[in-house]
Amino acid sequence: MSKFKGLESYAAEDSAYELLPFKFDRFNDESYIITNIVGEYLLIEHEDLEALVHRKLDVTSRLYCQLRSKHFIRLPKEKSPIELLALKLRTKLSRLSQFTNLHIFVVTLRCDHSCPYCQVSRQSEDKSSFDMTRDMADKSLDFVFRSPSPAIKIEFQGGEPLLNFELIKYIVESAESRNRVAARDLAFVIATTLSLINDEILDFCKLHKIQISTSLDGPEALHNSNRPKPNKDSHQRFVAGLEKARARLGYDQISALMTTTELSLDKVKEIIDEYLRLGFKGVFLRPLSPYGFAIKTKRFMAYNTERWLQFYKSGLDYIIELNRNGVEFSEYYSSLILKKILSAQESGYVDLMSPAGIGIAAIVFNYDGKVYASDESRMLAEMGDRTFELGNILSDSYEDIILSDKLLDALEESFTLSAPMCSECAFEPYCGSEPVYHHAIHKDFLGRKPESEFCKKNMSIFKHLISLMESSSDTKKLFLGWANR
Amino acid sequence: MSKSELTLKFDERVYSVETIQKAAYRFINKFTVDFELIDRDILCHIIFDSEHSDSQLQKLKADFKKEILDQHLRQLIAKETETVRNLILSATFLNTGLQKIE
Amino acid sequence: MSSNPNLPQVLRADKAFIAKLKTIPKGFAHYITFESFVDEVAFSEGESFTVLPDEFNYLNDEDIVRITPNKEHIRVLYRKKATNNTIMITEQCNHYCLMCSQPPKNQDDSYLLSEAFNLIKLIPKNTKEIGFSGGEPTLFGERFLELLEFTKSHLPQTGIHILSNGRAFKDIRFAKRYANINHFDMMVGIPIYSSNPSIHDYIVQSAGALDETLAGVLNLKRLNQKVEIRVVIHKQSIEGLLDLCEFIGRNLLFVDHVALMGLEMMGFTRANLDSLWIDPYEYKDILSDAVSILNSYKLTTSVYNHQLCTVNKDILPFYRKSISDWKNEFAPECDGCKSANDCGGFFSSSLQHRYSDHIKAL
Repeated sequence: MSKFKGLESYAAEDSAYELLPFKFDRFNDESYIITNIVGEYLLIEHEDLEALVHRKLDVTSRLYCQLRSKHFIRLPKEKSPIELLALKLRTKLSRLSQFTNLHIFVVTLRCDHSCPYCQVSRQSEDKSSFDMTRDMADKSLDFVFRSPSPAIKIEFQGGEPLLNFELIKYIVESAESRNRVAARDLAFVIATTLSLINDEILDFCKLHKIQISTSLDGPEALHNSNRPKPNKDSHQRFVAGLEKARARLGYDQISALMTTTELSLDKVKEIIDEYLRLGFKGVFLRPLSPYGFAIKTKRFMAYNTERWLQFYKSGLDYIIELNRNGVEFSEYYSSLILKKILSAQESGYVDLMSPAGIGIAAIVFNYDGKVYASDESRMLAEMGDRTFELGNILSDSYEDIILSDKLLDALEESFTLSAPMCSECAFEPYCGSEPVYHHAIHKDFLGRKPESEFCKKNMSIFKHLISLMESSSDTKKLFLGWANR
Repeated sequence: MSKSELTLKFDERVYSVETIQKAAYRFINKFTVDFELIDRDILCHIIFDSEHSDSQLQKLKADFKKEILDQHLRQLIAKETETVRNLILSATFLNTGLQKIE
Repeated sequence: MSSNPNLPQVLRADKAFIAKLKTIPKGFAHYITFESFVDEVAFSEGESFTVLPDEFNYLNDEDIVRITPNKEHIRVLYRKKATNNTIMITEQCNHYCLMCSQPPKNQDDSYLLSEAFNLIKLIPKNTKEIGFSGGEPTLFGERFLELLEFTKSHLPQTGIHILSNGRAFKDIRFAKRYANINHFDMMVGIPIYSSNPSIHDYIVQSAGALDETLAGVLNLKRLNQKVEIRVVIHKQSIEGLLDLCEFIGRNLLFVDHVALMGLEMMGFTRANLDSLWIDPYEYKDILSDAVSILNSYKLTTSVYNHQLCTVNKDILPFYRKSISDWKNEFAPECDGCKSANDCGGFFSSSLQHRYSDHIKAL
């Protein structure tokens, strides 16, 4: 008679389990996906789902083990599943207590480019009526330092913000002097095409540790046709500027974003190769957003979500292949989603937040003194939809703006946990509410989800990423790395 | 091409109107549903947005029925897990001190 | 004990001298020599001495041994040159692990704890780290915490590593008392063998163990205490190892270290060998994946108690030569291996009882 008891003695009571909150949806023709409140997932057969709910699971099966360790079920006595779920949920929600940390200053609307899909810019380089004034900048900084967030990021946008570099200098220096008392974790970013970068600007960036966020749409021909300039030298100036900026500020201080136009759709490999060639570690495959000129010029409608998804998926395939061949490279939109799927962390990406990231994660001070809930909100306003215009920095107080009904209504209505369909969607933990997008298309904050392209796009991506991981352990490993960067 | 209307009958003792409504919402881009309550029967008059072939209609009908089953299961789960869900939420918001741990 | 013949007289009174030469310095409290030296050493009248078997020949300056008055038992308590010195403070345990290397005895052994207090006083002040193990050291409750405080006072520069199943810390008052010791470098190493409670509980032979252990880990981290998760790999834990690593990544991302450990052939392991043994060579790919998962989550990870020829190359950055130096031995198959210097080698118990069939010179 052994002194040791068999496994069955420790599993005896197991069929008396209790369900923990979870949601499910059809994943594909064969299987269902179940997700718990912190986004852990499992793919299971329909009969297993029924068995799970009706207490008919085989307690010795691997599925049963997984359900327990991923916190879909617990034994009634167990306390740690509750504690761990609460802990993870708190980590995920912690950004709410951080409040606004991204403050976008649109220092000018003027631009040296005339991109057809651009939401917000004016070609005229000399009209100072499109510039933010020092008075507005001061008032905006008052606002910035009212934010309770311990970390403050100030991003300069345009137009081409470097066309109003004097004001950038003024804002950076004023913010730094205020911060000597406020003592926040203060950071600056300039979003620029790099076409106007020069030594004076770089010296200033170096001195004040300003990062550069720039735009690269692909190889020369594509980039130049997406981003027309009178001399057709956008790409050339980009490459020169990039080299200069990297040499002066450090290789990792410059990041790039791309925008997908109709011309990009069959060139995803070339686009990625261009990012590789120029030494970037990853690419953000971004669809055109339905704002501003993008809609006016019909560019947005020139391709549908389905076509964009094809573009995205073949790009992702290529990137996975690159990694398989030993080239480290990632896709950033996937990384943001994978962080939500595979870790207890939140990415803090404005588009994928619930309640919406507007106002909370970011706020925009426009060149004309208007304050918007997000970058997309001001683009919407440029089209005439002023739903997300929160006030005017010259005349309204911090409280007026941050507690404005417009913001609170949008936030409340966009809370996915209470939205029709979203509230019971298994992908809800990975998704966001994007009220600005839905207002642009559907004229309400939520949109009708079965018709929403936002919903379609994200659901497809969630499913695609999960399918890739489930079908290859190498891909799963790669994705784990992306999720935790 | 076949008719673009269809009526389905459900027993109120098995499915709630809410369950069927929730299922119907998911098909809002394909059809709308009018409800009629007669005794213990829930009659769903389905009006399709566009013309469909017979096989397409059968497929949509089957999908809708499957969705109702799913909604029913969802409600079971939601009801059963409500207490523990509140337990988790209160633990999430009441406990302090762990935020610092990353 | 001392091997320094020039030690000032005033320091000799409470030390034993390791005598290996004919002329021995006067004035030590005791003398220790070894069987093969005993004829050479000339002791004077009145000097007390002990002759130890030659296998203790490795004993050196500042080592500490315990010899019973009748000289029938000798135990080496502290070795200056060892990288880690672990003090066993009890043989009692509330677990009964299938692979326990120190099978628990259910009897009052509080004398071990008293000895530990005495030992702490003798340990050199510049010792980097000492360990406390059992049995389950926290079973002494308050007395155990007193030992930690005592150690902090006597060895203020010494790190403390505690091997515990962590269940005692589920009591937040106990955890708080522990945290209040406020040691600059004190860590609890807590074993978790599976993310599936049934399997973990089976391996440690105690129902409800994992739930309490996790509660303990959470309390310790709430109080900002250092915690290490230790996973012993064997036939019962290998199947769920990757699930466990993901579990740690998602739930316990805040732990300070994760150690994946090979099996030691001591105690119960030998009795349960059939249900525990799996050749490390057979699980080397799983081990690689496990390390890869933990590393993806940016958890500090180490692989202990493995031989270099049984692991894949991708393990190397995480590979530690963990087997204590006086246990570090090699198999006949290792002859001529160029990597022996970098290899942890074997526990002598493994060489005696069971080790991988795939050991070869690299």
